[in-house]
Amino acid sequence: MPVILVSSDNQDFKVDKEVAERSILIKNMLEDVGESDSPIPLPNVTAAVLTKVIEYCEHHRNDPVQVPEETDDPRKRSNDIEEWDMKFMQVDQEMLFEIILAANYLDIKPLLDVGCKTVANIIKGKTPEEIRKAFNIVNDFTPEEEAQIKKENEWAEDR
Amino acid sequence: MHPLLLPELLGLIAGYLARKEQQRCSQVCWTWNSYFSPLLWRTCTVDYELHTKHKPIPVSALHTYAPHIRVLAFQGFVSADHFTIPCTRLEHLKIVDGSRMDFKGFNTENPKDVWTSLASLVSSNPDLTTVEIAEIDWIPTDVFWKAIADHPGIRRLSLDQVRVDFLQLETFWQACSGVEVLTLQRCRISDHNDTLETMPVMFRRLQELNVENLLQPLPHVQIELLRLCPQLSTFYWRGGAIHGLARDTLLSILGSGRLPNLDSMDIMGMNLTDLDTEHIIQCMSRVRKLAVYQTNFGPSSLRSLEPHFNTIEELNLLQCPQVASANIAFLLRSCPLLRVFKAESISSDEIKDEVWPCHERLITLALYFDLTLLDRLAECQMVFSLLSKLKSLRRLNISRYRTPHSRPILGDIKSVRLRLDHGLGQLESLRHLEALHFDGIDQDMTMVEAQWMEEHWKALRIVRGVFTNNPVLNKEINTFFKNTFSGHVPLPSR
Repeated sequence: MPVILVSSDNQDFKVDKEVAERSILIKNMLEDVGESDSPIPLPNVTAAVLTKVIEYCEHHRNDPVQVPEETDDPRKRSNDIEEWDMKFMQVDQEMLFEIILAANYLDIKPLLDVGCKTVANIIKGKTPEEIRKAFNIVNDFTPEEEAQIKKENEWAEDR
Repeated sequence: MHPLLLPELLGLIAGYLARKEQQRCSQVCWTWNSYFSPLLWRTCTVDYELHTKHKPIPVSALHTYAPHIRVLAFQGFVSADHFTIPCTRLEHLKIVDGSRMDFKGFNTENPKDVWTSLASLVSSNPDLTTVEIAEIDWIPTDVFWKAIADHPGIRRLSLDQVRVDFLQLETFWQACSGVEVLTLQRCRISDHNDTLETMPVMFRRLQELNVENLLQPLPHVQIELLRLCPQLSTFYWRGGAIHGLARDTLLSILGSGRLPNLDSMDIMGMNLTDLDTEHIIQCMSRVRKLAVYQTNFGPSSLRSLEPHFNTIEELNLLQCPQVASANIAFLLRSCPLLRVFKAESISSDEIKDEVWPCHERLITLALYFDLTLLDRLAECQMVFSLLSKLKSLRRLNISRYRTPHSRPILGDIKSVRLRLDHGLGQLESLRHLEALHFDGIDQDMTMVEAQWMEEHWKALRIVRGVFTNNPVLNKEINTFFKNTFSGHVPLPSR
């Protein structure tokens, strides 16, 4: 049975229930309302972003449900993105962040992971100045502050 | 607002960054700094300044960021102003004196002050749950032990190479008696006449006791500790070469029914007979973990273990000469909850086209597959098919162990060949595999297999064994794995 999702800019999207339920938020909503064909409003997601998110969910519709991993290692790897996902994430930065925020809001863990890994991969190997450039972040330190912070945190680099 | 200034987004991304990158991120802008600096300072090691290969932590910064520190370690000689660090949210404190190494330990400066500062550090951190102390030859005051004894939150206490002298014995045992997990390694705990008669009270909360190679008191006196631990569920003991008295004490305490919760035993190296291990198992009302490495665990023990097949999660029977291949097959077919299983060797005769009931739970498997070599290809495929069902497996060790009775012949590959043309491809399903060991069963792998492993086992970090007898290719594969693994975020080293 298809489900109708409504984006923040009032566009309707008809998707299979199985696809929509990749989003835990939607899955829980559907479980709460039971059998109903009323559209589901998603006030935090624009049509452009929702199109991308649905494309992802369509592709991964048959993936096994992710079990939360019991791992002692809080650090995760970012070099294991699947090829399809890698291509899927080749979007401009604005869209990349929109997708991450939507994945967070809609509770689509695997998409959120892929998004964060993509951003982490951009950060890797860059100096602070290169990071600012890559993301267009304004440096709001005075030169003295910057030197001070560098000095205070330098020790953490190699351990 | 820039999305990368949202703390929740930074939080999600930070988990994929190594410390080095987190450190650079802290220098990007104020918003990033306020997120990443506390993260960096959560874990902090203060090293001996002159010997450290790391950049030193400025003392002033240590004082500024002290409220963020949750895990703090002192290593070796550091000046006294480090010890007055105003932490209030510590969860884990580690103190390692370097006095055994070639440089001076922190006892030289003003030892009494240092240990008084450390005592007040313990008292002013109510969230503290874990304290580790290592390589401490002399503590000049017992205020530190008192602070630990008076702290209601400390659950784990580990001491490695610590000497406790007679005068502090009482406060020392009081410090130990409040914790849930106590680990004593290579310590020298002085006592007048090796009886522990000054031993305090009871260890009422103690659930796990790990004792390893204590220099003092005598082994049977160490085991006497068990009489004082009514809640104990886990006992790990390594006593080195050991004779009758320790064994008798252990059997007598177990037999007395004082340890009703004991369900996990790890007692390698005790020269126990089959009847001894049988008796030990009979004294346990429930068995969750049993490691009887290098014992004579045999038919009687196996029989006494049978009622526990439905609860046992960990079993280590390595180097138990009486455990035969048929016994191993029987155990693997009978224990549905096994997460860890280690034993010597299983013959391909014992393997059928089957699924072990523990197939979804098994995380660690150490077992040598002994092939008859009548039809090597078919046997390899059968072993791989069996292994392919162990989808949770993280550590697989198919090494040939050196039992006293069966020394491996160099270059002997009577076991499986890790080759795609022998069915290795079936192991594609082992998606969580982190470590693969095949010591003593030299392989004839090619680069194709190495690349296949890299492609299909994304979690793999350790591969051990000789890949091939061709030294050039072996080196090439070695380099390939080295490069692959160096791209991974390293495991935290401390």
